[in-house]
Amino acid sequence: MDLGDGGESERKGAAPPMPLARQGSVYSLTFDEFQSTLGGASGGGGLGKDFGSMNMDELLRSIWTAEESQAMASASAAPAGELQRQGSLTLPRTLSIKTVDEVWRDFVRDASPGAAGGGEPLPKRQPTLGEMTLEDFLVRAGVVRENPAAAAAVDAAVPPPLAARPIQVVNNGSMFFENFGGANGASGASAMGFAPVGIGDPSHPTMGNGMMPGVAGMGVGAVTVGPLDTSMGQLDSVGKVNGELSSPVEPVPYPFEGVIRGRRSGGHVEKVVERRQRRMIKNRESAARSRARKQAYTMELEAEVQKLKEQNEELQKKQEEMLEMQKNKALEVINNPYGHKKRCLRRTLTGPW
Amino acid sequence: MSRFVDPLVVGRVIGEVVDLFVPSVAMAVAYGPKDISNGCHIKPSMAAAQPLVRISGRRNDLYTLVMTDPDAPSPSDPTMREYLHWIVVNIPGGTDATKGDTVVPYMGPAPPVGIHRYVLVLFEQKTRAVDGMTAAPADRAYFSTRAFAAAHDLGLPVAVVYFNSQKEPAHNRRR
Repeated sequence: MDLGDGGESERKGAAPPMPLARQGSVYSLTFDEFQSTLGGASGGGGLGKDFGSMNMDELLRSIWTAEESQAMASASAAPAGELQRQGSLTLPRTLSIKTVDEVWRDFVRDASPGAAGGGEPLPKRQPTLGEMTLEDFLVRAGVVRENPAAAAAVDAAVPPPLAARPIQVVNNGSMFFENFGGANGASGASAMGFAPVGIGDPSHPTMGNGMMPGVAGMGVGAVTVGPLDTSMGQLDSVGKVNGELSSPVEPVPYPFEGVIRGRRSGGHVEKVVERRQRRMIKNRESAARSRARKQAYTMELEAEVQKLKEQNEELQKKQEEMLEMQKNKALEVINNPYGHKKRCLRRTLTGPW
Repeated sequence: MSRFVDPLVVGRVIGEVVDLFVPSVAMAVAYGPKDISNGCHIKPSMAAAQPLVRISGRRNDLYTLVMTDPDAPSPSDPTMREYLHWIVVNIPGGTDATKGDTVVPYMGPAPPVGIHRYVLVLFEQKTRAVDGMTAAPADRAYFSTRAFAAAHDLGLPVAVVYFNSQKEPAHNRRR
C-alpha cells in the first residue's frame, strides 16, 4: 500500500534506500526497531517489555511516549544509527502470547492465503511481526486508518532535517522493500527465504506483490490485494489509497488524528488526546443520561398505566354495582307492581271523603 | 395519592436536586392542555407561559413551589446548577399556584445546549412566609433547592414533577 513519492521511485529503482526522504515518525518504525528505540532512548513505561505480551493499550502508550522523545532526539540522530537499527530489523521475533501477538496471528491468518506461494510460510511468518511497521500494525489492527504517505509527503516537504532523518522510511511499502532488498541486503532477505526484491529491482514485480499482502493488504480495509495481482493492479490500488488519503485535513478515526497532528506540530499530541478523551467521556455520559431519561419516562408511563388501570377497575366495579342496584330496583318494581299502587289506592280509598 | 418516586431516581432528580422523599401531596402540572408526567418532553415554546400547578393537601396548609433547571447551561457540564425559574410561596393546599405569592416570577425554559430537566418541587411550609422572609435570590443561576429548603426550614419535598426540554430550531424558539 501507500507507496508515496519516495516509495514509488524506490520501487522503480530510481533511488537507493538511503537517500529516501525519511520521516521521523515512530509509526514508520518496525516493531523491532521500535523496541530497540524504546530500550535505548525513552524512559517510557513500556520499556523493554516484549511487545508480543503487551496489550494494544500498552503498545499505544509506549508508542506515544516514544514519539515524544523521538521528536526531540530526531534532530541529533546520526546516519550511523540507521544502519544499526536496520540491523536489528531482521531479528526474528519469538512471538509469545498475549494481545499484540494475537492480533498479529489474526493478520497472518488473514493474509496467509495471500502470502507468496505456500512454499515458505514459516520463514515468512516468523520474522514479520518484528518487521511490520507500527503504523501498519495499528492500521491493520483497526486502531487507525491512515496512510502515512500523506503525512510523509508533508513531512518531507517541510523541514530539511527531516529529509536527512536517519530513522526510517517513508512508508510501509517501501519499508518492506527496504528490509528485504535494500538496506539489509541480500543476506537479510535470503535469510527469510526471499530473493532480494523491490528496491531497484523492477524485474521481480510478482515477488513484490507476493510480499505486499503482508503489508499492503492490511492497509485500509477497502483495499484487498490478491497475491498474484500484477504490479499494475498493485500500483492501482496503491494509487487509490494515496489519492483517498492524500488530503491532510481528511478526518481520520480516533487515535490517529491527534497523532498526525502531533507529528506535524510537535507537542500538541497530549492536548489533543486529552481533549478527545474528554469528549469521549462526555459522550458516554450523555448516552447514559439519554438512557436514563428514556427509562425514567417509561417508568413514569408504566406507573401511570398501572394507576389508570386500577382506577378503571375501580370505576368499572362501581358501575357494575350501580347497574346491579338499578336492576334490582327495576325488578322490585316489576315484581310487585301492586305494592306501590295498592298503597296509593289504599290511601285514596282511605281518604276522608 | 402518591406519585411513584422511581422515575425521579432514574432521572437523577432525586440525588442531584432533592433527596429521597416520600410524596404526600399530589401535584398536577399542566402547560395548557398538556399534562406533565415525569420525564416527558416539553418544547420551550409550549412552556413559555407559566403552567397550571394544582396541588392537593389541606386547605390551611401552605406550600412552596420551586422550579429549577439542574442542567444549566449544559447537561454534561452544569456549571450553573441550578438555574432558578420560579418560586411561589404560601400556596394553600387544594388550590393552584396562582393562589400563592410569587417570589421569583416564572421564566420559561430556554435550554441553550442539550436536553435539560426542569424540576418543580413542592414543599410544605411550617409557617406562613411573610414578606421579606423569602427574599428573592439575587441571581437565578447557582441556586440550590436543598439550600433553599434548609434556609427556610422546609424539610423534604412533598411532591416533585419534572419534565425535559430542549432547544428548538432557531426560528420557533421563544423565551
